[in-house]
Amino acid sequence: MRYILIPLLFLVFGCKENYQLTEAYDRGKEVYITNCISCHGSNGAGNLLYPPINSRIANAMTLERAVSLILQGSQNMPSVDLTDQEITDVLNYIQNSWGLEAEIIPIDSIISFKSISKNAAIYP
Amino acid sequence: MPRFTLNINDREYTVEAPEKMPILWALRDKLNLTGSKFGCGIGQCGACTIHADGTPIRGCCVPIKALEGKVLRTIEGISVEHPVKESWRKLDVAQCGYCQTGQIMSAVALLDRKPEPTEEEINRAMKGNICRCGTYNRIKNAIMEASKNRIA
Repeated sequence: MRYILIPLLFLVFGCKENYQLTEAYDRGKEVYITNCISCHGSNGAGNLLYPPINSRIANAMTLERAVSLILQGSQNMPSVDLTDQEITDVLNYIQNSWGLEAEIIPIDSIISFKSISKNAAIYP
Repeated sequence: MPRFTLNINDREYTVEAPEKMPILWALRDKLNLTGSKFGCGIGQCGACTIHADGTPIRGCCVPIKALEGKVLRTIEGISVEHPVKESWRKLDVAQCGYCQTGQIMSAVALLDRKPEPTEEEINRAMKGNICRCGTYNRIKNAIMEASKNRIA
């Protein structure tokens, strides 16, 4: 019985996690279509005037920069008024699209980066 | 200047323009398709929204070269009998009307992706289109109305 139950539990919980991921992915895709797609393109490759964003966020520093760019903008990018949940969803969408795969970024780390980036200087 | 062939509203247009010219400039000044409006010029207001391969883009910040080979649709390409335009007339949505072509383009793209959007989904999808007259509630109701009529 135990040998059946354990894989079964894995299956049930595994599915639940996947379900949440696809839901977050769908929400993130909607946020991307509304706010990002014009400049960064449907494949994240950017266009002549705006940079590609289809690479992996390698570490905490680049994640912080991504959050800061969204909230504060830069010389060429206007700041985008997104909620914490929307930032989380859109970053997870970008990190899991166009052949990319990454660990899910939890909303808590977005909130913690947000407080850092409020004090940081605006990136060029 | 380089020449570009663009597929707009199921018609081929040839434009001679610098490759970094935003599509909105080409549409309005060179092709005389003046339905798409110039608002802020930095992709923040949504008045210039058009479709590229079915997704809404802001015409003021996409260079013409990036749109070669894509299927473009502007407000002129949405028929007068389209359910969205019908419900816009029925609910008398527009006030000054300047943002409305962009609003309609975003609404049409939303209903193409999600035929039955929830209120939350409408708010999320229409966030990039701002309206200085504040017709947001009528826009939302009109999208719900159009969604019902499309299915019926």
